[in-house]
Amino acid sequence: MPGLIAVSPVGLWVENAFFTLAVVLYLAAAISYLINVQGKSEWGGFASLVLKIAFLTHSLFMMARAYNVQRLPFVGHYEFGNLFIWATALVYIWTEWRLKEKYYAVGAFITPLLMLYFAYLTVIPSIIPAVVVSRAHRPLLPILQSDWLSIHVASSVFGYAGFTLAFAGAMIWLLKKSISAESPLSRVLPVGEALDEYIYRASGFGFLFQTVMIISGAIWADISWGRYWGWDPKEMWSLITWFVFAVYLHARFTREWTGWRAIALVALGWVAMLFTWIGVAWLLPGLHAFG
Amino acid sequence: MQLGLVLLLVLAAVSAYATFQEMERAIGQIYSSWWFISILSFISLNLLLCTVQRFRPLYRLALQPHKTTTAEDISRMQVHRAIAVKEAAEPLAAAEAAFRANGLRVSVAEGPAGRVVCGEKGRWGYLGSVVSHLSLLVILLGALYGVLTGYEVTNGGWVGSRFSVPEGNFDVEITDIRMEQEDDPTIRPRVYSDVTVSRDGKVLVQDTVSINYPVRFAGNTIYHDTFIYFPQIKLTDLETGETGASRFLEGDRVFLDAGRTMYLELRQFFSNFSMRPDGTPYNVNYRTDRPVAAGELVRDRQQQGVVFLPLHKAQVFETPGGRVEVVMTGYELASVFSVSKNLGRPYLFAGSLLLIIGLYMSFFIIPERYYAFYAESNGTLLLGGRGYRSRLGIAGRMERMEAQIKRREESKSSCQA
Repeated sequence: MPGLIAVSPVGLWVENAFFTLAVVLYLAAAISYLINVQGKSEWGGFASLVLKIAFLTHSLFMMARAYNVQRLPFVGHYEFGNLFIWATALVYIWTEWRLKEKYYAVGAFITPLLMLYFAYLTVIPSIIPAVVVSRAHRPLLPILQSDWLSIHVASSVFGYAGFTLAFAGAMIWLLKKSISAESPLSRVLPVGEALDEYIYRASGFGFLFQTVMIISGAIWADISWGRYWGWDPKEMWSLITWFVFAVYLHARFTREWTGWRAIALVALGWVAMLFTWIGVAWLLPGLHAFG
Repeated sequence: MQLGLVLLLVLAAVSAYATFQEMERAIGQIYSSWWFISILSFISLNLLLCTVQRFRPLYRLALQPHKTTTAEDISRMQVHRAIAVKEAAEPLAAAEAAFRANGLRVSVAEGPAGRVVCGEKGRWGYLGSVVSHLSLLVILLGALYGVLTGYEVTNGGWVGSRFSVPEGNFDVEITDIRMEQEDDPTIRPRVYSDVTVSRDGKVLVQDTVSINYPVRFAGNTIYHDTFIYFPQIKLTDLETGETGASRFLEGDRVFLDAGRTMYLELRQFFSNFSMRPDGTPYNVNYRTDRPVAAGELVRDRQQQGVVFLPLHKAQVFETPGGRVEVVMTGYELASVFSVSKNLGRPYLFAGSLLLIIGLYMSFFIIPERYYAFYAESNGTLLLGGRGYRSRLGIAGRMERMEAQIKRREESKSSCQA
């Protein structure tokens, strides 16, 4: 097809094989983490190992994709989605390494979220015909041929990764609230105060990178289009996500908001983030229609 | 600050609503409305007042902390411990060693109740919120300054043409325009425009404008906006043999008779023309394989139908003044530029950089401060710690330091034995 990059059959096979293997391994990690929180603590270490192997396989997929498209695989729903999942796995593995095995329980909530994101890239397009996630190997559009693309997209995926971790923490908080404190499940989940701080730190991490993403996007827009803010729906929803997390971070810090109100804000922020990524692309056309 | 949080949530809700409106309408009726600007202004004011209110206490907390403390103060700190010890001098030395081993900056001060060892790290983290808030104010003021002092105009032309920008007191001459097609012809091609900018006949700058590569000079910027084609249309009066040719832009009227009762209103130029089965014309891609100018034929203000003018294919129209032949003899590529001056840009960039630094200070530099005091009355070493944003971090470090001090005490006891 005109405009597509010619990819060798071997290159294509390697790329697809690493992708499929990564999805299977992430799924295996999710199942292992879920078994771990069911009281079989010996599964925690295994789940963590499988996740690391899944992450390495996913890294190999990203490298194969980069080789096949002859550029950084940062553009379009398929590449961005994979990069986002990869960054979320990386940040989670890093937090797990820092916080040790007592946080294996968070993995039982992060990995299903990763599977949900994978579903958007693989299963959902076949269920909803209007959603098209192209795997085609295309060169960069002239407008995207800028050094700012790397900074903008990289900061974006790390911002989203932080918010995903915060949302996973929020789900654990909700689960803990809905079950008896004496139940075996409640005992393996992080304690309330630790969880609260986990959510706060993850949100702060995401917030910093979301800020870098908005600023780098504004600078890039200023260079490309002659104005740093265009009120485009994608820009606005990034800002809305930023507002919601700004409110949460301020409320948590200055007014010591914890509990239901804080969790509601984190959940709202995550929904806004998800809408920025997926909803805007299919419901609100704008200047960011590169996917 | 509570008002600020409510206003931010209101702003988020209004913005979310606006994104579901047609973009031009949202910009015109919501983002530019007095009430939207009022919300932004209130948030800015709230931000300013909060920053002013919090600056002094946070400055003191970060840079002028109390180096001494009392047993009562320690017992009220976020995390505190009491360790039974034997001597007065050694326990404080043990605490000092533990503080240093944990990477804390240590100072020893003589207070009214006795000697106090203070250890701290990450003090700049206290000022993170102040820096972030100030940076947001710099960004908002920079944007306001840019709007009040700058300008933005759209202009352009074809090779050899020239346009003036009175707002910036300079002229722009387009010396060359080159188009570079992508491998995929459905992707918008790149256009490079060579421009010469001059003021009062003196050349200010000569450079090439293209997408992602604007030309900047003396605070002004010329951006590539888009490109268009100007069809060249030649009219021949078949009765008199008179001819005339000119370039036309979409929306222009090509008058066919002297009385101007009949004209062709140009609607669109197709560089690679085709037609769908329902009769709708469209561009196959960005190639220039089949150029066609399309327009509406109007006679006595009545629309007569759509006319397509393929390149070099003449059409004859019966007009009140006789028969007229119309032919598109060529087309010219033209560049459209956005020319602007934004004096607020340096402040926006400075504010943005400051915001990133402020947020890094806020979320990655976690302040911790610890105190050690020996209570002679009961032979107890009191340790207290307080932090900012991370109670668990304080508790974890306190646990480690307590263990180090106890180990030192135990080894001392075993040596004495």
